[in-house]
Parts: sequence; C-alpha cells; structure tokens
Amino acid sequence: MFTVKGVKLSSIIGAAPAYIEDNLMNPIFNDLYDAEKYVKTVGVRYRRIADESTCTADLFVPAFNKQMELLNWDKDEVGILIVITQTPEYVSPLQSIILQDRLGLKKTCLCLDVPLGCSGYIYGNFLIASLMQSHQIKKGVLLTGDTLTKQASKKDRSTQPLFSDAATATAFELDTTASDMFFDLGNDGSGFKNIMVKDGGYRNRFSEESLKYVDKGEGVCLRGIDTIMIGMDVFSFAISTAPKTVNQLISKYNIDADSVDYFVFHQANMFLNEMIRKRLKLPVEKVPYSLHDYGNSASATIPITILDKIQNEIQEKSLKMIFSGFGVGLSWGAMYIETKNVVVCPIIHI
Amino acid sequence: MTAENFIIELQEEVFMETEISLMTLETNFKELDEWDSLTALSLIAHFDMNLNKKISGDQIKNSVTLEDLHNIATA
Repeated sequence: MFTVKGVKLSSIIGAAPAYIEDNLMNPIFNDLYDAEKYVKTVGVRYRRIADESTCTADLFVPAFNKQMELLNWDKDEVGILIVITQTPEYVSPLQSIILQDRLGLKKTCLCLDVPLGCSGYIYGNFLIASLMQSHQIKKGVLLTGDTLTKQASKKDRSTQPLFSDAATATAFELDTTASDMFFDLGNDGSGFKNIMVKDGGYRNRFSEESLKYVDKGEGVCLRGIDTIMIGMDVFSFAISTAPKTVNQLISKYNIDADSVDYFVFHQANMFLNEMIRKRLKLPVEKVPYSLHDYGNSASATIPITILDKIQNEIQEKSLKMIFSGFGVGLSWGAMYIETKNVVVCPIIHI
Repeated sequence: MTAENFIIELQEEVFMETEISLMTLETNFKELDEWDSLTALSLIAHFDMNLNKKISGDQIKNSVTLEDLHNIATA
C-alpha cells in the first residue's frame, strides 16, 4: 500500500493504428456463428493492427507531441520519462532513452523502461508520481502501450483475435492542491509461465527453432517468439486477484466506493471483466469498456478506455476513479485517483 | 457437499442449457453439447466463487466425469 501526494494527472492522449481488422471476418474462426459467439462473449469486434514497420515507439511519438501541444508545455520542462512496453524497438538500449532524443527532451530528463504488460498503467502511475514527489520533479510523462499483435501467433485462438495495438501518453505535474493517489500493488512469480514469450531472452536464445510452429492443441499453434497464454489459469488468477486488490485498496484507505465515479479495468476480455464487475457488485454504468473497438492492448487499455468512453467527462469534470490492471508476471495493482479537468483529445488514428 | 447438490448447482451455474437428467456422476462432461472453452471458464468461476475452491486448467484437462469434478470440489 502506497500513498503519493501533490502530483496531478494533467493529460491523457492515445494513439492507435488506423488499420482495423473485423473479428467477424477473421479466418481463425470456424464460421460466422463461431465468430459472432466470440465477439459476444469476449467482447472484441475490431482490432487495431500496426504494420510491420510501425513500432510502439512510432505510436508514442504522435501521442506525446500532441500532448505537449495541448498542454502548451516546453519539452525542456519534462524531467522524467517512463516507458512501459513489452514491445520496444530493440532488446537494448532502453526505449525511453531512444525516445529522449527522438522526442526532443533534454539530456538530464530521467529515462526509465519498465517491461510490464496489463498491470503496467498502475505501476507506471505509481513510479512516475512517486519519483516526482520524492525528488520534486515538476513535470513528467508516462508512455504506456504495445504493438501486441506482433506477439500473437496468427494460429492461436487465445491471443490472435484478442490482441490489439495502442499507445498512450499520460502527463503529470507537481501540484500541492492535487488529491492523494493511493496504490495497492502485488505480484506472484510462481505464475510466470501462465503468460510468457519463451524465446528471445537468455534462457532460451532466439534460434531457428524459435520460428517453428508447434501445435499445442485446442486451436493453439505457436512459435517460441509468440505469446503463450494458459487461458484457464490466467482466468482463475484474475477473477480472484482483481476483486481482491480493489477491495484491499478500498478498505485500507477508507474509500467510499459509492462515491467513486468510474472503475476502469484493464480490458482483458468481456467474460472475465464482467465476472470481476459482478463480484465487486459494481453497477454497469460505472465500469466502461473499450474492448469492442480497441481490443486488449496491455498497458494501454485503461487510458484508451478513458478516452474512448469518458473523454468528455474527464475533461469537463472532477472525477473520483479506481483503476485496476492484472496480467503477465503475474502482476497486478489497483489505484485511486481524483482527476480534475484532464486535457484530452480523441484517440489519434495513424 | 452431496453429489446430488453438487450436480444441481453445477447445472444452475455452469451447464445452464443442459438437461439435468443428462447429468450424473458418470457423465463425461466434455461430451456434453454445451462444453467449450467458455464453459470451462464458467466452471473455474463457479469453483472459485461458489465453492471457494481453486480448480486449475490441468485439473480440468485431467478430469473426465462429473465425479472427478465432485472429488476436486470436496477434496
């Protein structure tokens, strides 16, 4: 449990590829009935897909530039840049350092990468706000997102129709009048095999073998470089852990849950997210979804959902919100934040 | 929990479109028309939320009959 004081979330900007694929036309399904059932239960109709030459970094750049323009910030004012992605341009060096130059940030801007997935937005908010508070860094930007479709096997029903690409920029600034942010964070490495990419690190070096498809049964055929997801175990983890982390946050900080305007969850899949919502006894209108049009884009889903569904409200009103993310690691977290007139714009399609 | 109650609850929560008369301890649940990957997730959720038990993907894979599931529920 952590509290961060005096840091305001100033802006959220999102970018996603303009190219869309429709799951109703997805050849991975047996027929239209099969596809319709998937769309209805998992919730994903359209997926945004970056082409081979477009990296997550190429989506971060327009989101960041738009943010600077709307906030009217001088780039030299940005004292910290944190990038959360599992799909950087290179294994080394850090994406954030490459972006420091590309975005035109000063050389003393603190640059950090955190390769988290679905819990990344929560950890990102925690890390950037904590460092800004501790070291009185006046302005900072958190970039979260992935081109996750590049990690999904074209022959894997558990990931191919689910994953989508998106990137977001969230800006923060020191503000003594900002409400406290509260965090509940956790992880369990015993479940690391439940969602993973096996090859390409130093345990299993990339090799010719990494490119060979292996049939795992039940509609899953993948290569060593693809994401493997043990769906049933991930589901089991998430239906118990997500409600627990939200409840811990609420009870530890005596949050009046009824006064919370929105609960924005990582967009895992509709079937799972609805179980979590029902378990927490949350009304439908307080739990927005962007799965239908934007799929699952790991650490980008929470800000993308805000922009897709409550953009006007977060811009015009003060909102009390709880965010929760959970997934690869296994890693999870929940946070409470009160926002006021957040600078936003419609999701940029590139 | 008795086997009878276990099956009644299973029909109410997981196999909602399956006739209860088709569900006995000997039933191979993976051969029921309703069985698919989503039913498997409903089964996990039912164990977690209503029975307060964890059932893993491997346990489901290795189970054949409703009796196997009942054994996990009462272990």
